[in-house]
Amino acid sequence: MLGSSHAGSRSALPWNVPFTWVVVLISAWLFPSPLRAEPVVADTRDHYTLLKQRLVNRQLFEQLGEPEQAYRLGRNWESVAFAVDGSVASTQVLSGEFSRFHGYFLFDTFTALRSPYGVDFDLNLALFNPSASDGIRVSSFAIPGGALHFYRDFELGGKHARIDVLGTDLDHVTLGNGLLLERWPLEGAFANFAYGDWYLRHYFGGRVFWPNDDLYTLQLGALGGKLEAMFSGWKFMRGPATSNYVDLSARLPLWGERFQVAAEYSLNLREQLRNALLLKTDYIDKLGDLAWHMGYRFRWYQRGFGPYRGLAAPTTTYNLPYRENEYLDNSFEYFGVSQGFEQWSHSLVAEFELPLAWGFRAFGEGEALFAFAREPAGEAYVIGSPRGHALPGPWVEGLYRTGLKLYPWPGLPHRLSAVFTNKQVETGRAMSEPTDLRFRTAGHYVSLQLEAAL
Amino acid sequence: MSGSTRRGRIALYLGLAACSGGCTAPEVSPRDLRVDYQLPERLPEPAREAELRYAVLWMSSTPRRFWIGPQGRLAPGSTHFEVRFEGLPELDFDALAPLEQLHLSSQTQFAVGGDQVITELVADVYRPRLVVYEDDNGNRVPDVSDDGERIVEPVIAIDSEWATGIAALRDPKAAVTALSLENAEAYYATNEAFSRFAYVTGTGRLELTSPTTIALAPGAGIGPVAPFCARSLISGFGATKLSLVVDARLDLVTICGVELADCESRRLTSSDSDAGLDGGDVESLEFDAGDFGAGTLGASTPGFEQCRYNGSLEAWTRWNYETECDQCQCLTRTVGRSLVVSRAAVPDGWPCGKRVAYCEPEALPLYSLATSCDLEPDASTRDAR
Repeated sequence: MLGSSHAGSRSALPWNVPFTWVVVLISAWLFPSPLRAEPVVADTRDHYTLLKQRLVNRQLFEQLGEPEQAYRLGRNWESVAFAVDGSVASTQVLSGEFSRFHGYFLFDTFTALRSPYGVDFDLNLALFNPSASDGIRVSSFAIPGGALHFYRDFELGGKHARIDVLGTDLDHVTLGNGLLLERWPLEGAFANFAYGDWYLRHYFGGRVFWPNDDLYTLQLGALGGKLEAMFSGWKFMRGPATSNYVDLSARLPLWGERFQVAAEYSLNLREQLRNALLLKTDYIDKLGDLAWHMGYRFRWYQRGFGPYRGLAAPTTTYNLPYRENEYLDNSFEYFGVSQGFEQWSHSLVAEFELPLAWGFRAFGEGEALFAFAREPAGEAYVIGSPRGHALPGPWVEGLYRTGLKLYPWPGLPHRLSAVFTNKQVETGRAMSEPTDLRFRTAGHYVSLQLEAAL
Repeated sequence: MSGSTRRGRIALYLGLAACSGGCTAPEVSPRDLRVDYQLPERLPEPAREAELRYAVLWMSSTPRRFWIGPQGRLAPGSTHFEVRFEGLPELDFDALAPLEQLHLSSQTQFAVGGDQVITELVADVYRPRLVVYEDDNGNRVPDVSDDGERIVEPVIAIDSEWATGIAALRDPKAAVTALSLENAEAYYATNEAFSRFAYVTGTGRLELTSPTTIALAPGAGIGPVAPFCARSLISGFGATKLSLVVDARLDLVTICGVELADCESRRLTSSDSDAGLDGGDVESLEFDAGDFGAGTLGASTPGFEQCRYNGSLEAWTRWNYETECDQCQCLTRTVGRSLVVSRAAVPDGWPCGKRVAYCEPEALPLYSLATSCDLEPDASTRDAR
């Protein structure tokens, strides 16, 4: 088995990496800045991006109560909250081949029932047909994700405390700053005890990257989540041994939260310790009417850091078009070959949206990923990654979406878009079929889209 | 600390971290493959002044050309020797003949119902031949005839055409990187490292196999190495060929019908006695190599016999496999030859019911191969055991 006999990697933790991380950690402690009060517990959506962040399938009442959701029709019903984000798209190929989603509709619906004593029913029902080419309603699907949410707020020692217990739909989960898991749909269980700025949190997720895996965590957070220590275990049924991790992460928002530096360090406690590091910086701002965001990420995974001790491609069974609003740079792209190579990457992301006239807005989103895989000295392995890159060696990918959006109703999110892109969400014939490709990027496409939110 | 100083330091730390692992990743060179070969037990004694050497031969078809390498000397009395396949000799891979296809498989994740789909991947390969020869003139290379067609020095051992062997991939990187990660892991479980060479097995359909000692076959009497092609490609199975010899006392048309063209009427019994078949005639009708096509590769493959009866008729059939080649493309087919007599007048020496057991009647034509019955090895096969 690949790597089973490799006693060690010549890569040691670079001297400056822990130093950098320590600096960020201490800075976060010394220069606290108030975080935006989050309406959703354990809200791990990325707020440093212009990519659309969808609703979360819990605490829908609180989310729809936010000022920017004032247009929602279902926000003021006493014990029921309802929201739907709808999109219809027709995609044409300029070069390459379609992904499965090319003439689709998607109604991403959210419904919540709330009791007066701390129980919510949450239902996220995705209704979609990926391809009008299949025949009328031949491929239409309804995929529900349901959660029961128990919660209680109380005072303890003069401070606010809250307990949340939730399952099974955990929506999209990011652990730490995304070194292990980032924006990943998960089903399982979640428990959270918050006390002032501190929290103790537990996730259990089934079927994360591989069909036979489970993931569990225990997280201790401080400063409202700016600092977090985590112990996690990634285990496999009838497979390789469990990988246990200890993990430290820190976020440092600066300048009125326009700028953020984040770092995360993780250690795989296998027989020979394996390290990984994530550094992120983001700047998001407005220049007049121009909204823009730029970000940089550095990832480094020592060989063998990934949870699976072997070569096995991670797969996803949940890929809907709204996942285009995620970056390619994700641990998913690295963990399949982690047993064979040391990997590191530099990722640049940039987005802008500029209002023009008559309701038109120009927009652009780009991501450039420069990744490297290196095998330990003295060994000779060549493999092809699921994305089709020959490893070891460098691999580069550039993803873009750009075009025009027309907002016919001022102040409302309903829009018609003409999008030029090389990024399409990939899926199997049925969406639940596992695929090791998140995005199809081998062509160029033009897509006309109608999007509305009610 | 001022804001600008703090920002500058953060940028510095990020910059240092960015290239902390280096900003380049070197290409991987294919590894050598070390192969253990086993000599046949009985080797002819080389001429006193000659030494035994091995050579790996790479051949083109038209015009015939040999490339040699690696090669080396065999230690006296050795039973095993190791050959190190490092790279290709200076040659044009496209000129090698025959190029074959190594079948790889790769699983994709887009299967309906969660099953994985096996995608057939093929890679161009060439299987060089390894010979052990007597270096008569001491020039340390196998000498090629003037017409370039053959090795003229005595070849005393050669790798088998049909057993596990070594193949060179035209583009090993392309082949390996086309595999799924799971199959790549399986590949490295056997190959241990990325290499231009791989252990392969199979006829017609080459597949990867685990490293093993490769046993060489005796080369004495094989004549020139590969007079027509370096390897024979079994490219398929042809239709069964059947010929009948029907006793002249029986109605040929009734037995053979109109479909069976290769049907011959011959006197298998004496004219004045129902039981008077001449044993010599029977022997003359037994098969020899010529019955299966002289010069074909499969003439020595084991055969088997079957006796069946149906009503008043009885048939003794011998089956064998025949491989016919045109250049390097070969077709294998089953060849049968039946003698049909009356049950009431079987000749002396008739093997059915004695040496060859009867296969009970079933709903098949008399001369068809009944696979439901045990197949008796034929006499030549038994003798060889």
